[in-house]
Amino acid sequence: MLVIGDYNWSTIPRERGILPRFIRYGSQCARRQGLRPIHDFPDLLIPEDEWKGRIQQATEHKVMPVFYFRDAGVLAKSQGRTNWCWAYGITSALESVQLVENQPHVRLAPATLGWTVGWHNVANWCSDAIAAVAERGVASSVYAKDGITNPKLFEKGWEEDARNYKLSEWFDVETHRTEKETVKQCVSLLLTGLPLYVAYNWWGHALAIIGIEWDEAEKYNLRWIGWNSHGDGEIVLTGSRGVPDEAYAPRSSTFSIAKDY
Amino acid sequence: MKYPFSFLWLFLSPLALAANPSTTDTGIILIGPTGPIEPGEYVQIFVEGVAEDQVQTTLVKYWPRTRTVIIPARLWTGETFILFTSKSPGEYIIQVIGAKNNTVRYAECIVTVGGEDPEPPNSPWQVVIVYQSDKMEELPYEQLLMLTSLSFRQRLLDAGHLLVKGGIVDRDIKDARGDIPTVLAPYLNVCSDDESFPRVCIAPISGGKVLDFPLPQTEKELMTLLQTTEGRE
Repeated sequence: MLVIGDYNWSTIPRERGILPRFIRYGSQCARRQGLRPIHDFPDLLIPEDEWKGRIQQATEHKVMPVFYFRDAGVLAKSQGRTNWCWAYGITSALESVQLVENQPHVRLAPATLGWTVGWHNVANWCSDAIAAVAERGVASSVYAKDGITNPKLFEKGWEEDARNYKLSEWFDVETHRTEKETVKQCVSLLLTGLPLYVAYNWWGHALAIIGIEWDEAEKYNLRWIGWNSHGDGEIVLTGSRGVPDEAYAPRSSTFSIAKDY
Repeated sequence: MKYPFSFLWLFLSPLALAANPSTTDTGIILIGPTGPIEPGEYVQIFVEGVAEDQVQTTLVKYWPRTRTVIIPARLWTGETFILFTSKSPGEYIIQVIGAKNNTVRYAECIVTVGGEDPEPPNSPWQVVIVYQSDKMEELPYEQLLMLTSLSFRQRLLDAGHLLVKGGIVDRDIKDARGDIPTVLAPYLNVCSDDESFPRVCIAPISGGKVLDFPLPQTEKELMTLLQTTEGRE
């Protein structure tokens, strides 16, 4: 399993998948997009001295999305040579929310978000990806494979299918205070059973964070469990490398009218 | 009780009685109640065919033993009997085994203890938990666990219940058409906006009316609710 920490991050190849956030935290623009500032929910935040016990409880009770992924046997995605990590990360977050809602696992096709960037193999803002998923959704992988950018290779009906898989409401993490404050917000959200859609500026990459582990050998005593899109699935980030520069937690998804109903 | 008796506790007293019905091989007869008795009711099962000098070599056995009392005794007039009672409904076998002239003697009788049929196992439920996603931070931790714990869902399944697909649902959930999902509509529709959330909505797995309750504070209380609620077909 890939482990990225402060000791080896410089050896990790840089991606070109994300553009720096421009929507101001807590602004009307952010709120209109469904990004509710986490500080609107102060009772959600868990004090640092409770993290250890709460992480142990969450692990014992299998609360975090990582357990749902493992239980469902979710397979890793591969963005291939595309710069569309911004699509793959949010898609994994959407899949995990649906599992927590006890909806059946449906593997989704991140490539069906490519309309956001005009089907060009370029980077994107996470906020634009969030808006795209809210507006049109993500189709299932029956309609499009991983790693492609050409919609002509999609199966017909993908746009209709994508309406089944949307996210409309999010918690927004404020990452412009201290690193520790960011960690606190992220930990609190993960322990509520929510995944995080995150971006790392040092990496130029977006992915989903689906769990945390307590490890007193690491900074903040945390190991961050990510779901990556390089064909690897679970990875671990430690130290400051695990603390995201942007983080969003989806709150609820559309109810899928999948064929098995 | 019909006959007066002396409390001579003769645990090993050889009593052979014929009940109705009874089976005897060698002259031991058990005479007991002709119909079912009430739980906790004391009855006498009279034993005939066992002489006083055979008491020490005659055994009394019975099954089941749980919550059952057997007291061999003798009346002042000399009749021997077995005093029987049990608090649990069911069928009980009383056996008397003796020996005479190098011959094994045996008799048994069946006593039926009546009463109401045991409660049928509670029917399993289809379960939906409805919550308000913008009030998650107000949920006590134990309730949050019921919404998010994979282990809890497995325990629910192990108990025979079914968490409906999509059954951890925000009050305002919509499907791709913007409608209330058809599968969840029966559950969401019983939840009034005037009521407190989160709520647990249940329906018999075999179908029936949907019932809704405030989500109990703990998993244990929820399981108790599921076990004790009667289904309404």
